[in-house]
Formats: sequence, structure tokens, C-alpha cells
Amino acid sequence: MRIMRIDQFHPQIQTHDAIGNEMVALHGLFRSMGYASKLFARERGRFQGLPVGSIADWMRSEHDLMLIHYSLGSPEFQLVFAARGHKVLLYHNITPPELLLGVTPEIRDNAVSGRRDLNRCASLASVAVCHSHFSANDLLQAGFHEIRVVPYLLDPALRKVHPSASLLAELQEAGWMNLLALGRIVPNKRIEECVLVFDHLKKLSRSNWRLLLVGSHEGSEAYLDRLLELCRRLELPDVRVMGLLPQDKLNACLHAAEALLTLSEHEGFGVPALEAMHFGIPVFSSASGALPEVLGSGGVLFDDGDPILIAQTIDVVAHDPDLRSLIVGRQRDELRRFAPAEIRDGWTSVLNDVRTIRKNS
Amino acid sequence: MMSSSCHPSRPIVELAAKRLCEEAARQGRRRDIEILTAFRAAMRADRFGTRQSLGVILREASLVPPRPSTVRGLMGSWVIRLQAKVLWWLVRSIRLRDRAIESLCYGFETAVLEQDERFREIEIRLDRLESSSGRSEEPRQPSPEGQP
Repeated sequence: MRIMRIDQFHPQIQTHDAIGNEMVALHGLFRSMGYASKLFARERGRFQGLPVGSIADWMRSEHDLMLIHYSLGSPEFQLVFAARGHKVLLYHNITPPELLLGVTPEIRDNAVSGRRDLNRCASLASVAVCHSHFSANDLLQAGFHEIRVVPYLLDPALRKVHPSASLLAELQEAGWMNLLALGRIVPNKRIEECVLVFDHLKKLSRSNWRLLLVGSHEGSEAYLDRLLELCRRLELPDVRVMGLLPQDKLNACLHAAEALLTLSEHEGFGVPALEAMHFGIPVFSSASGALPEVLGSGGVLFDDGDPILIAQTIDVVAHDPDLRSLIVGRQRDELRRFAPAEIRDGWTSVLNDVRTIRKNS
Repeated sequence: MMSSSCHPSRPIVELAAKRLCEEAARQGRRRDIEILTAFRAAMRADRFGTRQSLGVILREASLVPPRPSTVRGLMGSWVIRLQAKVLWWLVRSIRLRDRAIESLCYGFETAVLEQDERFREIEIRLDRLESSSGRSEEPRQPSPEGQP
């Protein structure tokens, strides 16, 4: 039986968020493949110029296949799974709650219920898709059988957004080098280690470095307070907390960055690493979660987070154009795996599998 | 999971390691461990989200309204400040309550931190006792949350 339309659902579609951005990118992909498609969330609204329907709208309307973006626990998932039609679960991974110390109880509860309810979803979704083999392991443990790995689709339109000229000029001020830490300011990202790396970098490098912390800290303000306390204690005035940035400002940071530092303890995919690879920035990363998978032979990996060694490596690469271009060249080669054509093939194969499952059922 | 030891970037990391001054690196590492241990102990002590909740309470109880830079905003702010002065005893009682909550939260956090430290000490003593009596087959791992 032919699939006519593919809708997508996530309870909270947020601006400048990796899931929201991917929903828009997939919307474009599905439409280019000839399917009708619409976004749905808890409440009606608009997102990046697209209309977003409420889940009640979806249940009332004619529907076919629903792609459920799963990244937290939410009661709406039960409604979506209970409705008729086939469902594909796209698992964005959920941070283990024990790594979320000091965040709002709501964030922790969402992580607890998200991980707990994942087991229940196993029998309700036709196919489960995730962006890395690291996340596929979670799905396997939760009892899913039909698991497919399709890389994250980074919307090419976002990369083309013109960088904010004023911010770019400010960050490219002569004599400064920018170390970028991109992603939500939450404890599992181990930003405190990034601060220590930055502290060593300031001491051992002959250049003037600045640390840019870009990402939302909503719900983890206490963690940010502790990080700022640490910066004060280490006398680091050049740490700039930029917050969640609109795309033009984010692109300015990516253009002006000398290196991307990501020392996460748990990462289901690592969109910031992929963004940095697109912008030709060397990525210095912990070898945890899905980060080694995303980087492949690119970037620089560290098993043990020794801040002084990481700082020295960043400085060596920043002052050696040959080493820098070697790393960036490998990253560019790895980007082939994330080309839109590859991802399109991945989703075509997922949809073929759903068709086969439909026939058999 | 790919280990950094078999990653193509390994020679770059080794090159950087060679350029490190060994003595300074050793001292730096010791300091980093101390800082990270204290930072994480404080984070674990905040496992009930006390600081985060405190932030929310104090923000909600803020006595200053948003002040947009419009004539209406400036006028509104002046009126509110005037009201606050008139209702001085009420504002004072709210501020006192905020401070009491704040000190309770910090007291709680310190108590949890001390309790975690005590648990760790007891675990170490237990390990020593067990190994001296030869009953322990495997050394006990300290629990991440400092719980027995």
C-alpha cells in the first residue's frame, strides 16, 4: 500500500533547536520525495514559516504515517501511539537522568519518563530510526527490533544564512582567537572541563584566546552559576556566555571560531560537531557517546579528559596550518556520509521497510 | 566505541604531549583534579535541584517589574517604586522571607555535602576493615552519589 503523507510530531518545537531544525529539513525532504507533510506539536502555531498543527488537529484529520521525534517523556506520545495509522519513532536519545544533576526537576522528570516509556513504544512503532549506532544500542535494549540508522539531516539553508556582520567583526578583532563550546549548557556536556582547558590555553599559548559558550541554559541556571563562579575563581574574564543565538549570530560564531571543543559525557549524535565540520573548524572532542561515530577519521579525539593536554593540542593545531588543514580535510571527507543524497537514500529505505511491514500486517 | 588510541589524530596528540613541560603538566593535573572533584561534589550535593529551585523562587518573588524603555514603562517603574516605598513593611517581610529560604537552601546543600563526605570516609574505613579481616573479595567502589 502506498504511503501518501508523512507527518511529524514533537511535543515542543523550539526555535534554534536541533530537533526543530531537523523537522523543517525533513519536511522539505519528504515533500521533494512527493509526500504530503505537516508538522504537529502540543499547541498550534508557526515554526520557521511553516504552519504547526496541534495533536488534536492531527487526530481529527486524514492521516497516514506519523514520524514521532522522541527526545523526552511526554503524555502526548500515548495519544499519538493510540491513534490509527503507522508510526515511525525517530529517537534523538535521552540523557541518562543521573547525569542531569542540578537542573530543574521538570527536565530530570522528562528524562526519567522518556527513558522509561521508550520500552512501551517498542511494540507500538513499526520502525525505529536513530542517528547513530550509539543510540541504536539504547533502542535495542528497550526492546525494538526494526532499527535503522539514518544520519541527522542538517538543513543546508541554515548554513547559508548570512552571518551577523556586527558580531563577526567583534569576534574577528585582531589578536584574538575564539574557542567555541556549542550546545546546551547542561551538566552532561561537562562545560567545567572546557573552562579548565581554556584556563590552560590562556596560560600556555602565545595567542589571546576567548571562550564562547553558545547554547541555551534554560532550566540549568544553577549549573551556569557554578560555571561562572569557577571562571571568577580562575580569573577568566574572557569567557563569554552568548546564550541561545539566532542563526545569523550562530553562523558568525562558527565563522570566527578557531576550534570547537566538545567534552560531553553523553551525546546521542553531536550536531555541533557536524556544524563545525561544515564550517571547516577543527573539532576537539571526547571519545564518548556518538561523537567518535560522527567525526569518523576527522577531528581530534581524547579518551581521558586531561585539560592540559587538550589545551596544548588545540594550541599546536591553531599555530600549525598544515596540521589544521589535515584535520579539516579529513572532516570534509567524512561529511560525505551526511550528504543530503545519502540521507535521502536512508529515508527511502526506511519507508520501503514500513511498506513491507504494512503488507505483512 | 572508537578509542582515541587508534584514531588518526593520535600522532597530533602525541606531538602536543611532547611539547608539554612535564613538571608544569603534573602540577596542572593535580590542580585540575582538585577543582573538578570539588565542582562535582557540589553538583552531587545539589542532586535535589535546590539551587535551581532557589533561583526560580527568587526570580518569581522579584519585586521589580520588567521595565521597557518606553514612556509607559518608565512611568510604571516609577509608580511601582513609589508603591514599594509606601508598603515598606510588606516589602521588607518579603525580602526577609527570600533571605530565609536562601540560607535554608545553602544550609541544606552544605549538610548534604558534609554527609556525602562522611559516607565516603565510612566506605573507605569499611574497605580497610574488610581487607584486614580478609573477608573482602573485591574492593568496594564508592557510589557516585555518596550513598552507602
